[in-house]
Amino acid sequence: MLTKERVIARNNVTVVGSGNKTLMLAHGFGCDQHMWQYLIPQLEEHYTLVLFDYVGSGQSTISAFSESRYNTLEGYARDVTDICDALNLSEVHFVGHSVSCNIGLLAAIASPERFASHIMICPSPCFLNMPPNYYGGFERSDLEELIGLMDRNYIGWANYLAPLIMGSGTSHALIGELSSSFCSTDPLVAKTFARATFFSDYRHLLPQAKHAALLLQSEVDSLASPEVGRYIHVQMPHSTLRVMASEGHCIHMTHPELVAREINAWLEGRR
Amino acid sequence: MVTSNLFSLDDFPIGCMVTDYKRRILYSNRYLEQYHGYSTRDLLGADLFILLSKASQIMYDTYIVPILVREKQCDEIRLSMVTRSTSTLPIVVNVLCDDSANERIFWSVSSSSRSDQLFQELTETKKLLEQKISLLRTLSDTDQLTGLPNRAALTKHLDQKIIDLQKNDMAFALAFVDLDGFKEVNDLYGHHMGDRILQLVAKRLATNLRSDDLIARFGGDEFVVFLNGRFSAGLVEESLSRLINKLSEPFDIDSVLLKLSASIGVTLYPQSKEVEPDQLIRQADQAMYQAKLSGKNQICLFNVGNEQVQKGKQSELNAIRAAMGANQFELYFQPKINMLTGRVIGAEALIRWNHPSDGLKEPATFLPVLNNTSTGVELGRWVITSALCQLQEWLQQGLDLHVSVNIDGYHLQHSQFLCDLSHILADFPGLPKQRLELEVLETSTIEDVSHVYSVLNACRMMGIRISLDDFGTGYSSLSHLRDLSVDTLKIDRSFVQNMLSSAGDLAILKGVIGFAGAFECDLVAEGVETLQHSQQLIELGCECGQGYFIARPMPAHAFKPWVEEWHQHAFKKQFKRHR
Repeated sequence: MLTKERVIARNNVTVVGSGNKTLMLAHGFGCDQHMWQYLIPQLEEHYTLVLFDYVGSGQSTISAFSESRYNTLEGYARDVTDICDALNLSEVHFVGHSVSCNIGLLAAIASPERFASHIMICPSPCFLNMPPNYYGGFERSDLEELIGLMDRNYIGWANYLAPLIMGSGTSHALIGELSSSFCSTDPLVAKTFARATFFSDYRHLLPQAKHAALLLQSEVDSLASPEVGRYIHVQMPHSTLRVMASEGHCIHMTHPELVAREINAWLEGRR
Repeated sequence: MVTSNLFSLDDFPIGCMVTDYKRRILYSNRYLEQYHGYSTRDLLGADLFILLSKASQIMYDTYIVPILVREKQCDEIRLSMVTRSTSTLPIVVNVLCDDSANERIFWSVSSSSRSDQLFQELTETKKLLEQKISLLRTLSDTDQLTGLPNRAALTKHLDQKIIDLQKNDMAFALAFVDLDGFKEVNDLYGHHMGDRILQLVAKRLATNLRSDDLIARFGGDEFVVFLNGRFSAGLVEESLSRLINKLSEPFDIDSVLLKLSASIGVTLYPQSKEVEPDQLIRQADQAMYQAKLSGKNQICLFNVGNEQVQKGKQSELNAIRAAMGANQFELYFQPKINMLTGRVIGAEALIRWNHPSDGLKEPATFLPVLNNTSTGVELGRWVITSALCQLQEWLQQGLDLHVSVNIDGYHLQHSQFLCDLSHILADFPGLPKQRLELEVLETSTIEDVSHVYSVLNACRMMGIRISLDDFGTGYSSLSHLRDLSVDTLKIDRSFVQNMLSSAGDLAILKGVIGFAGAFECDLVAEGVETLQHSQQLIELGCECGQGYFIARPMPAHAFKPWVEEWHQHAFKKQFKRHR
């Protein structure tokens, strides 16, 4: 039985700020809720902010990770609905970064009564090129290379053989002590999240969206280009596209004022 | 002379680069040209991403940028550089961003071709090691003869299952299978044949289980079967009966048809108390042993309640053994007399336990637990020996009497009883054996009557007297008298006590007295509690008695003084005063 306390501990849920409107901030691939730290000061005065880490990321309970649950985004979406249920949230404005926009969409389709709107920061429903109608930006081989690079970067060379030497052969051995550095993640977990993120195609979800959505697309973003933003806008009912004068994929970190302004405007318009 | 202006960044054997937040390249040193092949001039103002592979671009956006925003620097990030000739080069970069407002990002870039090669080799080594280790694991978890998981694998499996099941509230049954008469197969046909049989048994067991069950060879001809699911006693017996039936079909080995059977003990999980995996195996093993005892080729379900009773019994037995070691047992003696003449004809030895905290304990409080135990047999031996010791002492002191001891049915049926008795008697060479009387309870559970008769007859041949205790209360009194020649009948106290008031009891009593005469046995009445009892008994023709009216059981040291007093005063006082 998932009690409120267990979900809060499992997903390292923190609630900050105050206000009638509830915003749930969902981090993207590779990081944790700390990526919101530049945006929080701009939002916490007016809104109640629910922050969390997906299982396997940040300070979540890593033992709750299971490859079978988290090898598709549906598993991460269950984290979102679990948290909504545990805190009994409603009228949630779901602020997702990158892949979390898809996760939020899955969660809102599964439990529409919990949500009010989507705020999508640099969303992409599919990172793969699907010619001739869709170009997510990457070929399958690019993404295979990414998994290879992750192997080289995430796995400490010294403990590369440790799971073998320690025996047991289970995933428990792989889930070791993580360094405290931001964005450091267990390799098995990170690769599972990477595969779920980069090899999936959730374009079919867009027309099913039941809530209004604000799309914040960066002017220059190779991961989620303005073309991808336009595609989403066309496919998704009740969506508003804003192409921002910003560069890069982490605009909530690099351009927090811009993003906050858009969020405020969006939420004020939804009074 | 040392000066800081003599050297330029172009002189260092490392790629140096500066970019801004819009990913524009602001500076690149000459060494870096060797890597990417562009001229420095071409690169200035260009997008950093022309030097990075697509995967590296994702790494930049999702990994490097967030770290830089938070921590201002990151070290030893492995990326792929795309060269002017569109080939890729593995690189490792350190990245630092300055704190000033102009937000520049400083890069050091070096080739990681060699370490990348090392990584490739490491990856291959790891794969190879994985294969080897999985092979080793398979070997260490597999029984070589049958190919089944071995005991170690079973333990691991159980550990894991118990952890899983605690989470998921599921259940299983664990069965311990032992072949009946396997040793005979080995002895008769040789170990080679035995091994073949084990292989076939393993195969037959394995093919008759569901895919989520597990069978392991525990050792020798023992197998453990793990059955997933929640079982009732009936259901598990039904499932295992199928296995037993399968095993009882003949095995064909080189045209020799061999028939085997198996005994199975089974226990269920979860139980009301936490149990460890090895405890579960022990429970199933114990139940299997019960199945063997009950005649083999059957299933026995382990009973948790029984285990508690067994544990309690065991601790009582331990206490009794300790008491024997500490000399806490003592024989009391109750006289048997001729009520007509007053002569003391004998004494019945009765055991007492001088318990350090409970005080003097009557046999009824500790004898039941000894039933059918080796401790009981041992205590029985002690009683005979002690009684003989006492008898010898009294005879030497001039007391002319016999001593009787009570022998339990299970002791009498013990295979070593006669042998033990001869050994004990051999320690008292001068003692006339007819002074020892064995009192056999008529109601004793005697499974093998003919064996007991032969034992008792052998005792009589040795000269020992036999008496039937509590006569009249057993079902087969008459047949006993017919088949077994005894020296004495002891009339049960219940008839004696009620004879004054109950015509029925009086009739039985008369009958018993008649039997004794007909079979030429001596007669002793138990439970003589009043003068009226004794007088009536004498009138009916039963002269000998024992009971509280005469004397209570007493310690050995008190017996001789009692006899002397009895002869001098007491008998006359009690029996003659009303005459």
